[in-house]
Amino acid sequence: MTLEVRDLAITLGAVSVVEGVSFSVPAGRTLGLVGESGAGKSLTSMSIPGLLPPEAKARGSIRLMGRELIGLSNAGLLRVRGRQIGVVFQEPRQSFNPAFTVGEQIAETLRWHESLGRRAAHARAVELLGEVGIDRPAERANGYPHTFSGGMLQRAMIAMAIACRPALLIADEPTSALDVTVQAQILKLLRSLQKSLGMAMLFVSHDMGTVAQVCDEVAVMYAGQIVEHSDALALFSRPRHPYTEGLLRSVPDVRARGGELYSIAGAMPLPGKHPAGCRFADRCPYAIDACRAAPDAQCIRDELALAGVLR
Amino acid sequence: MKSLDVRGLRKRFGSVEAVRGVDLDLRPGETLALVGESGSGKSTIARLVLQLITPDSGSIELDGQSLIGLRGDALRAMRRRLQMIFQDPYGSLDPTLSIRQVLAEPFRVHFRRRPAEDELDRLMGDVGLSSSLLDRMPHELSGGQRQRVAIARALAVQPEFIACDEVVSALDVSTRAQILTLLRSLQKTRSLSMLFITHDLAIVPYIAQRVAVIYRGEIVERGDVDEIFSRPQHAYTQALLAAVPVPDPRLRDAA
Repeated sequence: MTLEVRDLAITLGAVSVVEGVSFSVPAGRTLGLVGESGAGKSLTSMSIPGLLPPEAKARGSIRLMGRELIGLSNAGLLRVRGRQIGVVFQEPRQSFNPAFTVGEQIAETLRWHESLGRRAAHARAVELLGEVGIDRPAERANGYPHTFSGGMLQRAMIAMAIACRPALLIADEPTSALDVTVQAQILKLLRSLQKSLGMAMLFVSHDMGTVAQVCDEVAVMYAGQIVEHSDALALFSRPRHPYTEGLLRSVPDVRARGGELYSIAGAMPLPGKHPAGCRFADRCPYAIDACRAAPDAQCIRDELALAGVLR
Repeated sequence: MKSLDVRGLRKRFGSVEAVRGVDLDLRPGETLALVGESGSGKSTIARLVLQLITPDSGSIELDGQSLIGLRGDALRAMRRRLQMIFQDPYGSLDPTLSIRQVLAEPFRVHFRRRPAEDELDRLMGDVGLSSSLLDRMPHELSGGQRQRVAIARALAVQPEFIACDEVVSALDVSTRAQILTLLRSLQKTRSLSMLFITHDLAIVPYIAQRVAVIYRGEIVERGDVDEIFSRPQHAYTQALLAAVPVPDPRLRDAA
């Protein structure tokens, strides 16, 4: 197993923001981690390469290729990041240093992690830019970030993330800042690289449309917990958790003709204000008293249905 | 019932021609979606219509009255009838004012009076907010609540026309659905005419009856949403529609 997360809990100061999160991603598969802002998906994904803000603390277990990452020293994490874990963020412009050429920055990664010489690293950076579909890569490698369009810079960011052939690629909202036509190209690129390089990919997104296009499996987060995790086909066609069901019905579909968009009433409870029992109960159309006593993130609807309590 | 008529609108910023001869007509009580990607000129059009910037040429008329070059009281009177809601409700709400003060502002500017308590209650109710939030500050509200406040502020002066510029783009899925539903019902109950500017094609069928597709400052295709989305004629519209990710993994295109 490339990535194995067990009972991950993250606290910000005294406030618990992520609880009891477990999932695994094998090589060659893509897991979508979806949820709305504040659900804990970005904190969860950023805890893997050790990129949590200083006030956050992660407990539990995160194993990459069998090796425990929680508790690893900064020096140890530095070696893992970039080499075994590649990360693509939403805003490539914030990830590149404006004062250096794009080629220099990709080469820097290669010199650091792969101990390549200056010339070899530059040559490899040019190859990588070509691999992610950038035209005239030798020329573009000498360009500064501001001369790249948003889509091109995101391609360059991907080139940097895959430079050391990482076992795991984390893509955190990689297309949310892009125009729709560019978004489609980047999604296609990520998917084809993931397959050809056999990487495990964790795709973090709030956009169910892009998740449907990219992921093999989907884990849905709500108020700091994973409430449902299944195969993408099953999740989209037969969601089991009422939150997933409501979320999917709230997603606009360009094929719709008129009609109203469903919306879930209310708002997700904030960290520190999570109710006892099922955290979705206050917004759930199926909730009964027993839900408020349910112990964890799993919906008890199936059990209730079996017991004849509910339809 | 009023209608808005835009003809031959042009605007250049330096060497860039942002809007290149745009015609739009917004019929009373209807929502027209203006869709395009970043840099297409769609937001510039909203700013031109609301006279936040002046066009280089072209005409903008509300019920036959030209809006271009209005000043002073005439400009203020026009602004009352045409309101605008922006993408980022945090950026458009003064962080130093309470919600009560934010909502009092349009009454002061346009009616030269303070709103009565029941007027504020009604406004908050209309946008689905509890009056108990009136004394909160913008940063204490969620993104969805802030956008509801921005809508309430626009509605306060009983406008006939509202331009919405990417108003749900910064919101989460379930909040976006709530705000779209709210806008749609307000548009119906108040017979508002709405210019709905967005880059997100998927939401258009839920909010608009007609659509205009803008590319590099020009409208390339326009018509009924059902018609255009079912049978797009222009290559750009076809490319845009094809690129929208569909929330169904069975329809994944083979990579």
